Amino acid sequence: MKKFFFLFSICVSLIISGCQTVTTSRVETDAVTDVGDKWNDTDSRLVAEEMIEDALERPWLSQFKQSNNQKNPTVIIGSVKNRSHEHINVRTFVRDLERALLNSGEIDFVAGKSERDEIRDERFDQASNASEDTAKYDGEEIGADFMLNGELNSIINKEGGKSVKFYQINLTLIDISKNRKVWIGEKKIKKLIKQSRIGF
Amino acid sequence: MKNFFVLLIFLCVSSCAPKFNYDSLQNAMASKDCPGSIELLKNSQQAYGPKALLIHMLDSGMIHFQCDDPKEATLFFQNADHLAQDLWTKSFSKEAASFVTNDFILPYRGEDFERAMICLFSAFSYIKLGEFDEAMADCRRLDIILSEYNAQYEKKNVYKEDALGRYISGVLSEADKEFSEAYIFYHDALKAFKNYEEAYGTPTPNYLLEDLLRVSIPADRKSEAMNLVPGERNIGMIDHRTSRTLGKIILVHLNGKAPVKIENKFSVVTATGPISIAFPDYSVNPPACRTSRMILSSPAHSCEVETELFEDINRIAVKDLEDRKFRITAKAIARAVAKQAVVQASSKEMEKHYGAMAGLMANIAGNVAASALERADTRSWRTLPGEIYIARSFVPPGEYQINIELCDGYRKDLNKISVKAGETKFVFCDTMY
Repeated sequence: MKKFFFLFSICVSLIISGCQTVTTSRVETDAVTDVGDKWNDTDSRLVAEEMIEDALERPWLSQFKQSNNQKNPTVIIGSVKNRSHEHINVRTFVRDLERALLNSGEIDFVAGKSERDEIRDERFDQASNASEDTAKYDGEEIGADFMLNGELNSIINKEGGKSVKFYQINLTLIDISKNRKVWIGEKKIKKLIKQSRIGF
Repeated sequence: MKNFFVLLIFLCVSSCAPKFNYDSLQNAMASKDCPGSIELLKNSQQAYGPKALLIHMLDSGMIHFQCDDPKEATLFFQNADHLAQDLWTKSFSKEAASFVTNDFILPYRGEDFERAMICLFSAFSYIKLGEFDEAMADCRRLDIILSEYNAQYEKKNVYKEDALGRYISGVLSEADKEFSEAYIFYHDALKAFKNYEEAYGTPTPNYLLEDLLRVSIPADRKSEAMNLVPGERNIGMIDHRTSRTLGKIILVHLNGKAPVKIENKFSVVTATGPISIAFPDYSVNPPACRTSRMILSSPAHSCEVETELFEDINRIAVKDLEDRKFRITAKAIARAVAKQAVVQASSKEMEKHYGAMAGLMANIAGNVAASALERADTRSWRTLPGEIYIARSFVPPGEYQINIELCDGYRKDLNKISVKAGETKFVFCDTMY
């Protein structure tokens, strides 16, 4: 009888352990949450923080202001390419960078390629439908002084259950009139991942 | 008595084969009922069972891909890739249990070539979305998987390279003007096709040789490429400079259905009782039509190009299983022996406690149960195509009507496509159902 109850309780334990439960808990947005081995929000935040600090400290900003009567440089976001082996939304850290630089009051931004089509459609609509004194007209856009583009690369070394993932993000500011690169920001992230071959 | 309970526990926890009705899905796809097909899959997760979750994701991804919902397809393929990675970790308890029940107790991890196809079809889905950068991320992921296979299998003549995957990687790199990278991918594809010719009878396509020669010029590797291309091949090459003034249209033709695993089972009578052994085999359904032609027409220009076979999934699957047959059969024999030992021990104990008749009944019941439990693992990614063909044409910039003509003269109209100078566009066609 004892053995029967012992085996029965094992069966019940197996059944219960197979049941899935979901729990949710709120965490701070800057808490490090490494779930899985892929690129995550912590990586994106680290990139943005490094780039923001670096961009504002480098000489290109003060040099531009000196040559342009203390006017803020105007930047347009160009293409930031994902050249890694993962599907990574590069827009997260680019948007963070754009927000921080704009809010610093030192740099101005103009709408990029993906945004200005919508704005131009709106101006076209206003030309037909809005009152003359409130309508906005073509030919008054501010031309950008610099374009920001970049790429995210990765190198993976894997053997068995051990892998090393190396990510390198480079952002470049290019003077649009002279094609001169004035700033290159870089952030490297390395992760060591271990996956066991055998589990229970 | 305890052995009898052990046998009962194994009966309780052993898994059954997935019960999803593929005929219903095939009928729905054949009648082009995409909403019906998607709904069928959405409601069938239970029918697949928790151990075939990977197959459910792959089938869902494939159906969304074919039903022109590439965004949803990418999500399924990404989740499938993550799950396949997680399943690399084997459960000790389940592996042990599979030696006394059957392989359905193990979660399905995907065959080696199926894991490569996840990356390839995810790349195709991103290509349909026009996101070549993201498609390239899948090609790099495929490169990592194939590197693992190469390290694992070394010199063994097994599936460890994917020629089509390498070729598509080359095409995407060339579209991105990364000519050195494109050359390396085309070169890898060429090496892979040498293995394909030997293992699967798939000859090296002329399109690959032309592309290799063309990019060798901007990649500064022309003399090396000239040595790689067989002299007797009639290669009609457009040089790199001319190609930049033209648009490139690539047709990906998914033809026929992937082979289906079936069970082969036989029983051997031994002194202690019958032993049943089951192992899987592939049933190939060869497509009725194996050639096709892409016809491009615009007011200013028209042309026709033949497709070439780039991936014979039927043959890859069959050979992949053949290469593992020894291991599968050895495991089936070990499992049969282990079950027989449990049945014998249980019946002896029953005889000891309850007499000869009880022992005999336990022996019979145990043998019947052991035979019923012995099942071959017939799970596979059934919604893959049987073959993949490619056609490629350089055309003057403009808008083109695209038709596909099959071997029996049947013509299929595809959407119109616009292509600019230096641009690469893909069109997809499937004759799977």
